[in-house]
Amino acid sequence: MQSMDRARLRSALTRLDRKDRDVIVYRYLLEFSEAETADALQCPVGTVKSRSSRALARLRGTLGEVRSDG
Amino acid sequence: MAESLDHDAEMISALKSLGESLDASPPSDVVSNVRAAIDAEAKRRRKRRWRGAAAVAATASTLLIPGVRTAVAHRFGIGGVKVHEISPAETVPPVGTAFALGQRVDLDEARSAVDYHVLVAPGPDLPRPTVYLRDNGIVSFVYPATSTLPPSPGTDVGLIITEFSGDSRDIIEKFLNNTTDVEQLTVNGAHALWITRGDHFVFFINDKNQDVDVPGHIAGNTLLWVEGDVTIRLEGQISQADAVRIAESMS
Repeated sequence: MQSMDRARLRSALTRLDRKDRDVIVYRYLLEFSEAETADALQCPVGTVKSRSSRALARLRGTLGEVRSDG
Repeated sequence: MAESLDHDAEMISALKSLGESLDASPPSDVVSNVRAAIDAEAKRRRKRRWRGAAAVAATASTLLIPGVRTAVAHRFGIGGVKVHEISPAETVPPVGTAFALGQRVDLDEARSAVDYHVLVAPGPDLPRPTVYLRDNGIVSFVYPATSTLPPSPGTDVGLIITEFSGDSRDIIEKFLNNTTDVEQLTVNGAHALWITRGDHFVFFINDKNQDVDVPGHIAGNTLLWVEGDVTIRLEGQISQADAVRIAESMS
C-alpha cells in the first residue's frame, strides 16, 4: 500500500464518528474476531456485524471526500 | 490504488495493511498486547502496563480504560503528528532523568544534519540553550531555568523546544483522558494545541513512513504547532501567553 493511500485512509478514519472508527480499528486494523470486537466494545456480536458493514460504507464515502479535498 | 478502495474487500485489505504498518514500532506485537489487555479486562480489569504503544494499540487501549473511553476521539485537523494521551499505567521516563535527547551539538551541526529549517527562539528573554540532535532528525533546545523561566519539577530545566519534520498529509489526533486539558489556538496564524496537565507524547511520520514516538520530556505545559514542514513542541512551566510569544518569535 502506498504511503499516500495510507495517509488518505488514516485521514478518512479520523473523520468517521466514534462508533464507526472503533469497530473498524478493532475488526480490520487489529484484526480482532467479531466476538473479540464485541467484547472490546461491550456489545452483541450482531451489533458488531451490522456496525462493521455500516462503518465500511461510511469509510468508503469518507474516502471520496478525502480525495476531493486532497 | 485509490479507486480500488471502493471495493470492500480491497478496502479491508488496505485497512489491514495500515494496521500492520502501525504495528511496526515497538512493542513488536501490538495485537497480542491489546488482546492481552482485553483478557485482563475480562479478568477483573487487572492493571495493565504498556510501553510506547503504537498508534492503533494506543487507541484500543485507551478505549478499554473505564472513564477514559468517554473522552476519546477529540480530533484536530493540522500537521503531521498525533498527540496521544497516555494512561497512568504506561511507562514514561521519570521527569528529569531520561531526556534521551541525543547527541549534544552546536546549532550549525544540527542545521546541517537535518533536511528542514531549524527554527531558533531569539534572546534576550531566553538564556543560551544547549542543542541536541537525535539520529532520527529530532532537534532539541534545552534552556536552563532562570528567574523568569521557572524550572520544571525535579529538574533545572526551564524550557525544552523540540523540532522535527512532520508529514503534513497526516492529521493531528488527540486522545484525551480526564487529566489533560487541550486548547486550540494559533501561532503565527497556524493551528496549534496548548496542552496542560497530564503526560502526553507525540507521534510523527518519518521519511520511511514509520511512526516515531516523541515522548514529552518534562512536566509542565506544552505548546504544539506546525511551521511549514516542521512540527515544533515547546514544553515548560510557562504561561500560554509567554509560550505563544516565544513561538511567534522563532525564526
